[in-house]
Amino acid sequence: MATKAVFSEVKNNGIGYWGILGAFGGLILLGLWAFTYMHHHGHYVTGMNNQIVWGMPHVFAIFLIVAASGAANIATIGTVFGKTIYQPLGRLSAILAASLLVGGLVVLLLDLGDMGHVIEMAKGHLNFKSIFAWNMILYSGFIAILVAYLWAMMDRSKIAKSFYKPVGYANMAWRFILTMGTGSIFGFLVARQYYDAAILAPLFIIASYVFGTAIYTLLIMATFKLTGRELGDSILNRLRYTLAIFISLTLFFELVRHLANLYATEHHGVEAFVLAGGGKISHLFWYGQILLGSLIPLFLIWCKKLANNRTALVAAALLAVIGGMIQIYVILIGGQSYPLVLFPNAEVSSSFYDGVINDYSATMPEFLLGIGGFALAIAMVIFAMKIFKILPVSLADAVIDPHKK
Amino acid sequence: MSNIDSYRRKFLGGIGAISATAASVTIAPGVFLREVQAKPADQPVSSKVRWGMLIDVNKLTDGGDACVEACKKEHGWGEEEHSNEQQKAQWIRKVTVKEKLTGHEFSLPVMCQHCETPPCVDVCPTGASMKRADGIVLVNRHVCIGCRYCMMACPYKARSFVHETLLDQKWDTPRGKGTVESCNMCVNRVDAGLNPACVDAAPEALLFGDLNDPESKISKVLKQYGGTQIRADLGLNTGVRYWGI
Amino acid sequence: MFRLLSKKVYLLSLVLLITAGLSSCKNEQPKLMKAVTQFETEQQRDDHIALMRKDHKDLLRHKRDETMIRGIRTEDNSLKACIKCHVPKSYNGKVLRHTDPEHFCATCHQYVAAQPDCFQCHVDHPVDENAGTAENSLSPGEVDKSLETLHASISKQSDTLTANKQTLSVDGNTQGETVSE
Repeated sequence: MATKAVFSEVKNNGIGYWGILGAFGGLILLGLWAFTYMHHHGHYVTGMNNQIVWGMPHVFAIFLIVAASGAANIATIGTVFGKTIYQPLGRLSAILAASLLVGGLVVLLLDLGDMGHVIEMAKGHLNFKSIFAWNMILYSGFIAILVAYLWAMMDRSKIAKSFYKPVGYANMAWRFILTMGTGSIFGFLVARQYYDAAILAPLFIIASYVFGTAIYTLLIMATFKLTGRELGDSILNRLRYTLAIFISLTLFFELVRHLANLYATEHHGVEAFVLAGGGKISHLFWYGQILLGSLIPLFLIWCKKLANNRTALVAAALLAVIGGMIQIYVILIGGQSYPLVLFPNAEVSSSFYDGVINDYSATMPEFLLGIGGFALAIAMVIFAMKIFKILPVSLADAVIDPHKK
Repeated sequence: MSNIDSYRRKFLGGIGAISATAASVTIAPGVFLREVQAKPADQPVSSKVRWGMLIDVNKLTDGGDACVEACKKEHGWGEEEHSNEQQKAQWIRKVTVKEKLTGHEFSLPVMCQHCETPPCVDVCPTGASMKRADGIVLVNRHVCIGCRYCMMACPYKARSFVHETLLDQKWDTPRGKGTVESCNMCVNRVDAGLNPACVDAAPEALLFGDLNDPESKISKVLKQYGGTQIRADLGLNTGVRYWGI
Repeated sequence: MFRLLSKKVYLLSLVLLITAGLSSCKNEQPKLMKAVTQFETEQQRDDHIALMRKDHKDLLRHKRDETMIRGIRTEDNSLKACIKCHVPKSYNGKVLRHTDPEHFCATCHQYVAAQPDCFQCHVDHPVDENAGTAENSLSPGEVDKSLETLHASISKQSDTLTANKQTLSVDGNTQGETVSE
């Protein structure tokens, strides 16, 4: 049994802490500028249009929201599955999850065409047939659960400890529903050939594990290095191999999805476009998502020569994150690029871009808004680390796993 | 509909002649008494009425260009200065279709199909995308937050987003930045007892009326000859039907 | 952290700040433009003013729901009717827009710096039913400028109001509610 974990705030000052926080703060400000620019002029300053209605900000937002769900998983392994070695990691996991979610939601909110009417919506009614409306409840509920979870983990009172397991279970269940809700945003769209598939819900769940684990790994390695805390191989290798398992599972779900689409004639058009179109989308899919984002990280993790190699892990996690963003991009933009099929087996043209593949290139404000959301999430974690006892003092092998030979 | 019926329909010359034989109210050749009754202004709309439209593609000489121009003039869309061509609003458009196997080519105007179970209404989180009791599907811009989910969901790409600040909107069609819009079946005209602008622009090819009233021209004609929905397999039971596609 | 000065000094400066802020408030109520059409009786007018002052936000919301969702289009529920009555077709030879401080809605809304978003969609002046909008439309440069005017005029509120003496009538000061001090 591991000794009771000790936590402490980050004690760094000076450029090592404030400099980094300041840098993220600068990115947040740029994001805010991008928002005011887009809001004042209207969306004509973006690359989004009536054909590609959701663009780069949504790629970032959906990535962040999905990653948030996966980041909370680390804590769940400790609570629900009883792996005590993960329990010291729980606090950072919950904070990271809440911050990533907030970052993603802020980007979504700031991209809205008419944000003022959100107050109308809050005062009026939500349409509960809309998965969007459900998601609003699910996202806010998730933050509430994370707050309760943190309390259960950090408060030493008996009541708090008694809530630890129930809230952990609630976290897991809520996360599944939440991520299925996010996948269903696309899965419920009968109109488009690339969506309208139930498998998108579990695909998003398994992708969330990849994104969350990768971001968590990168974050914990960076913070422990910068704060001079020891991080043992024991915990790192567990994160390493779970990342590999989740990446392979994602590949499996993508395989099932594309094979099913390839069987049905109805979906041949969009599959040909995504898999063999020869354009930006198919390049991103094969080289970005599959090669860079899945196969190379798997190699970096499983190659025997690279066992215990920290640089390989960092590279693998980074590539998994980039590959994950590309995966969302292909789903979101690829699905919109392919035209709606009103008249099958016919050549169609119109002044409203029927029958043609739609192009999309994001403009600077869109990138800045998305990056600003990401920066907001990380800045929140960095700030929380300083004022709360989030980080374990040490994750060295001897401390957390003394029985390891 | 069967081959015999379509042949008979084409032989008789489309909606104009059909209506004439179907006990219509004709004042003079080509001029029809408006079927739409003005609803009293203080009465709410009711589901006793379901507005629908029939478009006879074979009778359109320009494939719907006149309809598009009429709609533009009525509602003032399409001239947004800052938006690029892909961002400009388009409520109705002419779609040219060429079947791959047969080589048969035709053009038709496509607008919001005013489905009975609209996917856009299902997905709207605020309820801004709504279906009025009389079947007209439109966006309540007061509540629209501009999330564009309805644009993702529409199977007919009927919706547009306003990408810039607008000024000098048409008196009867308020529209503004940051909200989504689409063909609203000229709801302001319909409530006043007029036909939609596109119908008046091509009265030989377009017919507007109450689908719930078995005595209305459109109901009789649809009952006899049927009407095709675009993407009928989606089961949305659209209010806009076509002949000749 | 902030122990440089004593608590009393902070309290005193807070009080001074509040007093300075309050004293810089404009005492006069904004003077609304006279309506294009007038009521038949004084009583009708007074009742209308009282009702609108108290409830126009909720009334506008209720009426728009009646029109949008239930399709009720009586004059009572029509924003066009409000505009036809309260906004002249032209003012000093040009079209009066919601960014001009003399515009009926802008007069008060610029004063309280609470921008209504009606005119994002609704045209802000009466339009001849059959006229094309060519004569009323602004060029892109003018659009940006008119929005700048809105922002600038919030700070120049008092100057503009005192400058316009002839067409504005005293309105509302006969009612019970007055701006404090």
